[in-house]
Amino acid sequence: MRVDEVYFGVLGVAVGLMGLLAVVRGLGLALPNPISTLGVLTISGTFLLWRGVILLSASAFYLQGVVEGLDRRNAQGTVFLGSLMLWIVAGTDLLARLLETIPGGSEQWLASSGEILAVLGPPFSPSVVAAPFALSALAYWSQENEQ
Amino acid sequence: MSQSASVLLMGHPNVGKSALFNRLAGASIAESNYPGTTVEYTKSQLRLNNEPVPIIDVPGTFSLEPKDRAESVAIGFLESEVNPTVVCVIDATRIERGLNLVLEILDRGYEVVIALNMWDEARRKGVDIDADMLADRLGVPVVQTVATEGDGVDDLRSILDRANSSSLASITDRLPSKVHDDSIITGDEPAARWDIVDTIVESVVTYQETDPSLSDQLGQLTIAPKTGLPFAIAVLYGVWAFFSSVAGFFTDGYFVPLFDDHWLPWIQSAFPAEGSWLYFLLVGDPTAVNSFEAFGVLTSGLFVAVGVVLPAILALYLVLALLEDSGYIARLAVLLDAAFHRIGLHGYAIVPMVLSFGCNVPGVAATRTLETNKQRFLTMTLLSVFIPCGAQLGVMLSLIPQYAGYILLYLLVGFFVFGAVLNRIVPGSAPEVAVDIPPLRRPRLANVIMKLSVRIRGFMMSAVPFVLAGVGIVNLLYLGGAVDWLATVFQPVLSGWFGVPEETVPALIAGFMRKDLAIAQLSAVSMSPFQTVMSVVMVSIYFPCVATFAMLIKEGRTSGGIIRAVGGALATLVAALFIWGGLLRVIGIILGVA
Ligand SMILES: Nc1nc2c(ncn2[C@@H]2O[C@H](COP(=O)(O)OP(=O)(O)O)[C@@H](O)[C@H]2O)c(=O)[nH]1
Ligand SMILES: [Mg+2]
Repeated sequence: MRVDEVYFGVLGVAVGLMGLLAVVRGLGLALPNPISTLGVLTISGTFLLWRGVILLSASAFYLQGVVEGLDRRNAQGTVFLGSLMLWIVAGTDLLARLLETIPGGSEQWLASSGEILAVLGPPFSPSVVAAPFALSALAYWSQENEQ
Repeated sequence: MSQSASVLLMGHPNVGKSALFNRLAGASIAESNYPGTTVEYTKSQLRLNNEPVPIIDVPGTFSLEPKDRAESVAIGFLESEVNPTVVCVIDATRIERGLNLVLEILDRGYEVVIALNMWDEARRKGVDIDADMLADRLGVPVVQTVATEGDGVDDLRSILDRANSSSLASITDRLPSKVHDDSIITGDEPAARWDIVDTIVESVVTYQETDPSLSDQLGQLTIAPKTGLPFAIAVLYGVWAFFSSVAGFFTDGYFVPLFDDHWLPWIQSAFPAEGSWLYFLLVGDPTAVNSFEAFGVLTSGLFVAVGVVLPAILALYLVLALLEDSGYIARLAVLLDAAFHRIGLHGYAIVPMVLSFGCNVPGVAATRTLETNKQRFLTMTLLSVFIPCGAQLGVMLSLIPQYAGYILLYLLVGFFVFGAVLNRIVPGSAPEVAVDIPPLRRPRLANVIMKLSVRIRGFMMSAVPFVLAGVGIVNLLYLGGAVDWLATVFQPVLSGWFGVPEETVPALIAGFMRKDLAIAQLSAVSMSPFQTVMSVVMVSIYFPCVATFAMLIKEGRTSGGIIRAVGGALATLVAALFIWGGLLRVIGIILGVA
């Protein structure tokens, strides 16, 4: 088995578990938010169900890519697409946090740099946690450009 | 070539004509990575040997037998210009069909230069075209270009005065023997023309084996339903999240405090003659504490136009431009093709639909690329009735963020339900077409910014005056007593059928001018949450804004006649208003919230 297959297999399972939790919580079932046990991860907020569905799909894409075998271009594409989905959710998530904080509330026009940096810190949503790990899919992209 | 004869850029849709036009003429018009962007022509000047020469970006055409309005416009140009120089723009990765059009144009005796555009992509795909040989075979100059980078554009410019005509007979004579049979000379026969194309391609093009690239793979995956639909969900989620956080950043972060805490109190006290009609018109309510509710031209009018709608439009147009340029919108079209077929449209109705989310006016204009009167009528009507524009979405997002998503969903479902019904009852055909999918590309920043600035400028010039005038007109009607009178007249329908208070009447009036304004107006009425949702849905459906209505009339004229098109649209919207609005009330009653 190739290294990348193990890597994306593990990532796929992890993303899938977080996605499942997000969907379940998004449907309003009373599973606990992991923030209580794992301080850095929070599964909450608006559009939770949709974000959960996207996480689950990304996970499915990873696993499908692994099953097909990542020496195949098509499977690499599937993995890349899954990563792209994670980046979209993570990117908009961080952007929303940042843009909400920058104006800094009443009586001030710009939040202090400390406040701005603080919102970029933990706790993170699942997609933000997974996004850096998904970056390794970029290797498939650069591989191609080297050829 | 006579010096003042114009230069026509012709070719299939989405081959880079507009990009070349921008390079050649130093102009800036929209290039988009999907077919059908240019439905109107654009004219500019090209300096050739220090003399200005008119140059025209002609809408894309597949052949010289027109199939839709954009194509008729294209062919009209060819026929009406005196001795034009035709620059045939060919997508080098799809050279066959490009050459077919070239032969058609040559066959009619025009002087032609060929731009083999997308040369960069052809090289990446391992397509190698011997341009000199092609020029020899055809007897006209051929230049390789990369319009987006400007490569080859100078060569193209310098070669324009060597444009040549060339008969199909002489072309056939220069070909290797295979097609040397006399039947071919009548190039009007499509089959014969294709034979010539095949022979030319065989002798000038070599294909190298290349692995499909990652972006080709991604391109495939985004249109296969199993992978494409989940990805589409992610993209649409991303669009919505981006839109709401960027618009919210400007509106809630800056404009709301700026207007509410500074501008509104200042103008309320500084403006002279409180209590006069002028004060009422321009400032509105002297005791209002937020800029939505004051409702004067200089308070709510300015606030809605600049503080709410402008940021929303900016955010939305930015993501739309990115999506357009990446080639994703066309993929969404393919993905949704099946759903659209049920309502008698094909996937390309998504292009007008997506444009409509920015503003209904260009959305309605873009229906021109659809084939039949029926399709145009259906799309035009459904868009103007059910698709909320970006301005309207922006106001919804700022006033009722918790319901905006549901309202949008309810309207979209209405789009398909009414589409399916109209498809049954409207006579006419809705032919199948092969959808042309552009490749996925990395969007170019310069192009995105250019498109954004053109659209924002358009918005500032056309929408802002309408918003201000809308506030003024509603206030004048108040002063004249018309609002109260209308409220009494419509009260039975409003409360009886829709269950909303008669105070929504001013909003319905404002809706004639601008939907965004109408929704802003609603915020001043005290209503239950359900009534708010109900009245927003009503305002969205009940009548297109003035600008859209004008466009409906303009386009209706050529899509089956004004009476038929506009009458049909109005009938649809009345039915939609009462049925779809009434249904919402029924749903509300069942859920126990109405
Ligand atoms: N890679 C590449 N892209 C191009 C080239 N020319 C145009 N494009 C892109 O192709 C798309 C279609 O171009 P456009 O000018 O709108 O085509 P038109 O429909 O023929 O006017 C746009 O996304 C352009 O940026 C080229 O030479 N190379
Ligand atoms: Mg164009």
